[in-house]
Amino acid sequence: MFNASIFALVLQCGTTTAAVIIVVFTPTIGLGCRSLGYTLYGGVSILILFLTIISTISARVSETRVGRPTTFSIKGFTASTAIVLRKLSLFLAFLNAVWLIVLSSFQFSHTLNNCYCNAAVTGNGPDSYIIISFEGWISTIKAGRVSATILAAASMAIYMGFLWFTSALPTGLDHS
Amino acid sequence: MTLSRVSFPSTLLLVQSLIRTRFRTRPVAISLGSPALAAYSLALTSLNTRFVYRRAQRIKHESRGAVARALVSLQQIPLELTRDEPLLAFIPVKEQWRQEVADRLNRRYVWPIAIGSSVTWVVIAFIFTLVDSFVDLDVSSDGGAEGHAVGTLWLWLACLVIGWIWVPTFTRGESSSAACHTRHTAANRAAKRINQTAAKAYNSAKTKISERLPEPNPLPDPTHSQSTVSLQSSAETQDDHTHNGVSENPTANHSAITFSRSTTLHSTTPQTSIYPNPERLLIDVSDELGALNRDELPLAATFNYSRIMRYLVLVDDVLRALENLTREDDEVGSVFRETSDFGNCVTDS
Repeated sequence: MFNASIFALVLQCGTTTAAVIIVVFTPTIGLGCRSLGYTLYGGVSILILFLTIISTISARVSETRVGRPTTFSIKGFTASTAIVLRKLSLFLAFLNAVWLIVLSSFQFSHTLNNCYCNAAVTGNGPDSYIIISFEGWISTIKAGRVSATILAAASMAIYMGFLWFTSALPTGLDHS
Repeated sequence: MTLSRVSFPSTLLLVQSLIRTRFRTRPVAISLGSPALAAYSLALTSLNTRFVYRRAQRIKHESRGAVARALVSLQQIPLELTRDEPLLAFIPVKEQWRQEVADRLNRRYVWPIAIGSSVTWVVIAFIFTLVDSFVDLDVSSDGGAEGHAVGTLWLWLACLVIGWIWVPTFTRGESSSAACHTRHTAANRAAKRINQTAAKAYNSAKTKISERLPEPNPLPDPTHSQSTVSLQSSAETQDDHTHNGVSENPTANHSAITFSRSTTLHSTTPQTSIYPNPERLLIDVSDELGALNRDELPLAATFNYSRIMRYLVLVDDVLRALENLTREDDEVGSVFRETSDFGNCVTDS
């Protein structure tokens, strides 16, 4: 469980952080609408993972305890924890899925291509500014994008490599 | 332009994975809403597979490969080993069955064409976007970041789609649209086959042992004989029945063979029958799952994370039973090998 969650986190964090880096390092630098949306999406996704793991464990604890589930016994407490967390995480997953679709649609339709978002007001506050020309910013943009691409590729490679090596069929199982 | 280049293949891949899950809401919501959870589930499935194979390699039984494959393929269904029987036999030895499972599972690298082509498309589109993102830096006021960023945000989808093809689920090689539908029935069929082959193996073992047992000899007494396994033949049960005035066909009696073990070797196991009723080896606990474990009910592989505990217990039980069976086979074999005459074995002691 520990290993699996670590590698799942690597994949999730890698791709989401890369997306955030790309947007943040595109002027105006700062936490704008898009990067905030991505961060929210990734954060909720990881939160759901943890809630679900806790729910699974407490469901098993409750299941293997003998006796009657009452409110103050471990069996009853873990059972209610498991059920509440499971329902909560499913609800959050629904919201997050809708959020991802909405966010992508907004970007596809250039809805977020406005002054407020491009100036990254959410991160910079009243000092926000907007950049008319990218002169002088090119190297920053490029550095951000290169590092983001490397990060995404590396996290994907780590996850896929992990899958590849663990799911390999061993030889000599059929002939002892 | 950039956006449509990224979004179209990604959307196609998304739609395909929706079709793969038969548009059931919860797996889709979980995959989209929490890629971390979906990736966790996939990683768990993969780790389980390795765990089963590693453990099976330590067992010397001839059918360990078949058992391991069956266990790996049963991850999508909440199964338990029945607790009614004290000691377990789990022996799918039929060559044909083993071949079938192996055939299904060895289709590992045959990619479903639709998925393969759209993954390729996504990759190519992403490369174009990447190039575009570095070349057209000032094409719009947002710096052309949208396509690159959204494409990166969705990259996990390609990983998960490829990963579910790699990791051995039972229907791995089958067509993508039918995969989720047949997964349940295939797993059920596998469980049923395991039970049936165990029944057959049970019957054949019963006849094989009772053929080799001498009819008239007195039975070995575990307290006096030095052999580790003492056999109680079907003759005795018949005798008992005739003593009681009831004459039955001994082959119809399921407890005809009882291996009573001497307490010196395996003190932990009580006197039990090796071969339980094989019709009830694996039980599907779907009906018993209440509100507590409702995530275990859906048969989508996305929910493997909720079945991990139950599955590990099942694997442990089954493989330990197989280990016990191997030990029993060795002991019975050594008894049969060392004694040319059964009478000597008993009377010399």
